[in-house]
Amino acid sequence: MTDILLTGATGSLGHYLLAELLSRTQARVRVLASESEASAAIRLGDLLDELGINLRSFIDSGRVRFVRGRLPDALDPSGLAGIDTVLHAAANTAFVATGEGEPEHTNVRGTAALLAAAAHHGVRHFVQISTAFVCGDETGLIAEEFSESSPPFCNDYERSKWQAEQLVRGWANDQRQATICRPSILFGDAATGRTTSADGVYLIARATDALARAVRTSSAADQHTVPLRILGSPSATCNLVPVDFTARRIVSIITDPAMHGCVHHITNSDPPTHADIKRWLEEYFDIGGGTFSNEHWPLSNPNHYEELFYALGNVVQDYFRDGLVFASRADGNGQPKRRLIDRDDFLRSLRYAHSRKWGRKRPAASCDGVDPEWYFEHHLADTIAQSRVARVHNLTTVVTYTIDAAPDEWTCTFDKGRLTQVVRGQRPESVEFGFTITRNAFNRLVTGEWSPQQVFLDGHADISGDVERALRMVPIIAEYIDEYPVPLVEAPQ
Amino acid sequence: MNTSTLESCPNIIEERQAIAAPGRAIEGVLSYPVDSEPKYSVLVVGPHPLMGGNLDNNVVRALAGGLAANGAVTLAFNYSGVGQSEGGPDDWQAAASQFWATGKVDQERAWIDDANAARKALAKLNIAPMIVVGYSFGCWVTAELPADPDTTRWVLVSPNPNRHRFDGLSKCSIPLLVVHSDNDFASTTEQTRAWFDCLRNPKSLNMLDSAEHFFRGREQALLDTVVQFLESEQTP
Ligand SMILES: NC(=O)c1ccc[n+]([C@@H]2O[C@H](COP(=O)([O-])OP(=O)(O)OC[C@H]3O[C@@H](n4cnc5c(N)ncnc54)[C@H](OP(=O)(O)O)[C@@H]3O)[C@@H](O)[C@H]2O)c1
Repeated sequence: MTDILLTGATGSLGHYLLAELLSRTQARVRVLASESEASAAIRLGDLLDELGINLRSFIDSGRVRFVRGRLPDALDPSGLAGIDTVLHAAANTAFVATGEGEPEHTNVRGTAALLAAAAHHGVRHFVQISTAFVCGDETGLIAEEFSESSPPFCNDYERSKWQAEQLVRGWANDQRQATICRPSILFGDAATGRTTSADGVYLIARATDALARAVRTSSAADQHTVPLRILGSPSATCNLVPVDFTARRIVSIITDPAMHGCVHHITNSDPPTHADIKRWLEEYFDIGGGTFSNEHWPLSNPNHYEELFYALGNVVQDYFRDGLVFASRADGNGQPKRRLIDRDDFLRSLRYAHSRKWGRKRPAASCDGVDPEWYFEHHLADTIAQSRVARVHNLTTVVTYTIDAAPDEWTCTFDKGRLTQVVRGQRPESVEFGFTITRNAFNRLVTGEWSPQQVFLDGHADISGDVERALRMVPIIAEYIDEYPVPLVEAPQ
Repeated sequence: MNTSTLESCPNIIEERQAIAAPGRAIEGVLSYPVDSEPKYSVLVVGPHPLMGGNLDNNVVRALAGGLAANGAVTLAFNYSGVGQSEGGPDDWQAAASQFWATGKVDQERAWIDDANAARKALAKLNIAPMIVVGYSFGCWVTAELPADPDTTRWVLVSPNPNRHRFDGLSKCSIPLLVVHSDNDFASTTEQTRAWFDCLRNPKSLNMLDSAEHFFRGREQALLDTVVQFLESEQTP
C-alpha cells in the first residue's frame, strides 16, 4: 500500500484529489493542514460530504491522517517519514505579487522546503501540480516537457509556478522521479457544475452579473444594447477543464508508473472561445450589446457600465489567449477533439455558483456577529462596485481597517472609486489612514445599527494616519453601509 | 458658579422644532430648564454635516443640553439634508467627490442660511442676551452669519484657521472665547495661538489638554469652560 502526502487538500482541486485517492486507490493519505487536526477534519469533512465521501470513516480506519504545517516555514519534516509519494497541490493563486511576498513565498520557497523534506525522508516520487500557463505569453503548440528557458510571463503567479517546476525537475535523479501535472483553468464539476471557487473564470460571470443588475435598475440603458467594450478577440480561447476530470487524470497518472517522470498537460483540446463564453453569459444574464475591442488595458475613457464590468480588474484578458494549443498525449494524436465544456456544462456551473452567490460565505450567526473576513473579502468586494461609492471617481486611497478584538486587519486599496485590492494582515507603507474599531461596534456598524460618526464619537473607533482624509472618507463609508447593510441572517446557502 | 454636570443633565425639556429656512424646513431641538425661567439664549452651530455634524454629535449635545441645564434656552439644529431637515445636495456623488478632494462642498452657503434661520427662530423667543456657539466647521458658519446687534457673546470651539477664514469676527467687538485642544489634528496650538493673537479684542483663549478635535470623554471639561466664560463676563 502506498503512502501519499497531499498538500492543498482543502483547495478547489485538492479535495477532489483526496476524494479520488480515497475512492479509487488503496493509498493511505497524509494531509498537510495548517490548522489543528480537529478543525481540518471538520473543514475537509464538509467538503468531502458534498462529494458523497465520509471522511470520518477514512480517518477512523487510519487511511487519512493529518500532519500539521504550513509552507515553507512551518513544515515539520518528520511528517514525511514513511511517505512514498508527495502530491503537491498547495499553492498561492494570487496573480499579482502581494506585500507578504506571495505567490513566490508559498509556490517557490514552499515547494523548495517540501522537496528538501522529501529528499531527507527518501520519498521516491514527487508529483507537482503546476499550471499549463507556465508557458507564459507564448503561443503556438506548447509541448509536454520542461521549458529550458523562462518565457515572458503574464503575471507573478505564472512565474512562481515555472520556478517551482524547475526546482522539482532539479530534485529528480536516478533514485527518485518527478512528475509534473499542468492543468489549464479549473472549472466546475462536469456532472453537477459544483465549484468551491468563485474566482478564476467565474470573475467574468460575477462582473457580468453586476453589470446586468445595474442595467436593470437603471432606466438609462437597454439591457440588450449595453455599451461595453470587451477586451480581446472573439476567437481567443479559454482553456477550461472540469475539476473532477482534472483530479481523475492526476490520480490516474499517479497510479500508472509508466506516466511517472513526465510532464502532463491536463487541458482541453477543444476549449470554448471568447465568443462562445460571451454568448453563454449573455443568454444566462439576458443581457447584450458588448462588442469585442482590440484596445489594451486599462480602457480609455471607460463609461459607467465598463467601470462596473471591470471593477474586479482586467477580468477578461487574464483568461483568454489567442493561438495557444497545448500538446497532450492523453488526447492522442489524430483523435477527434473532445469538447470538455459546452454550453450546457458552462451554464450548469454558472447556475451553481450564482445560486450560491458566487461563493459568498454566510456571515456568522448573529451571536458571533459578522465575520470580518467575510465582510472585507467577500461582501465588500462583491457589492462596492455596484454601490454609489464606485461613482466617486476621485476616490483613490489605501485604508486599513483593524478589528481590535480579532485582532485582524484588512487593507483596502481604492483606485478611482474602484476597490482594487483587499489584503489581510500587514500594513503596506502606502496606507493613508486607518480605522480601528471594536468588534461589537463593527457588528453594529456594518449592519447599519450605528452610524460611522456615532461609532467614532462614542469612542468605539479610532483613527490613525491622516485624520482629515479619514474624516472625508466617513460619509462615503456611511453611504455604502446605507446601501449595503449586512442582513443579520443571509440568504440560504 | 452653578455648573450642571452632564451626567445629571436632567432638569431640562427638549422640544423638536421645525425651523423655516429659505425654501425648506430644518429640524431643531430647543432645550430649556424645567423649573426656572431661562436667563439667556444660545445658538449651537454644529460641525460639518459630512463629518458627523448632526443633533447627535457629542459636542452639540453637551453644549445644548449642558447650557440648558445651566439656565439657558438653547437651539441646535440639523443642517439641511441631515436627519429630518429638508434639502441637501441634489447629487450625492458630486458632493462626495468634491468633499473627498477638497473637504468642502458647494452646499456650504446653504448651511449658513440654515444657521441664520435658526438664530432668527431663537431670537423670536426674546430671551436676551443671545450667545452664539460654533464648533469646528460651525465656527466658520457663525463667522459668516450677518452681523446681529442682539448677540452679546461668541464662543468658538475648535476653529480651524488652516481651513477657514474668519473675517466675520471683526464685524463686531463682543467678547469672544476660543477653546482649543492641544492635540487637535486640524490646527496645532502654535497655529491657533498665532491666529488668535491677530484677532480683535475682547477675546480669551482657553486650552484644554488632550481633548483632540472631538472632545470624546472631555465634554464636561468643555462645558465647564464655556459656562465659566459666560458667567465671568458682564452683559454689555
Ligand atoms: N485554479 C485553477 O484554475 C488552477 C489552474 C491550474 C493549476 N492550478 C494549480 O492547482 C493547484 C490547486 O489550485 P486551487 O485552485 O485548488 O487552489 P486553492 O483553491 O486556492 O487552494 C489552495 C490550497 O493550498 C493551500 N495552501 C495555500 N498556501 C499554503 C501554504 N503556504 N502552505 C500550505 N498550504 C497552502 C490552501 O490551504 P488553506 O486553505 O489552508 O490556505 C488550499 O488547500 C495549485 O497548485 C494551482 O497552482 C490551479
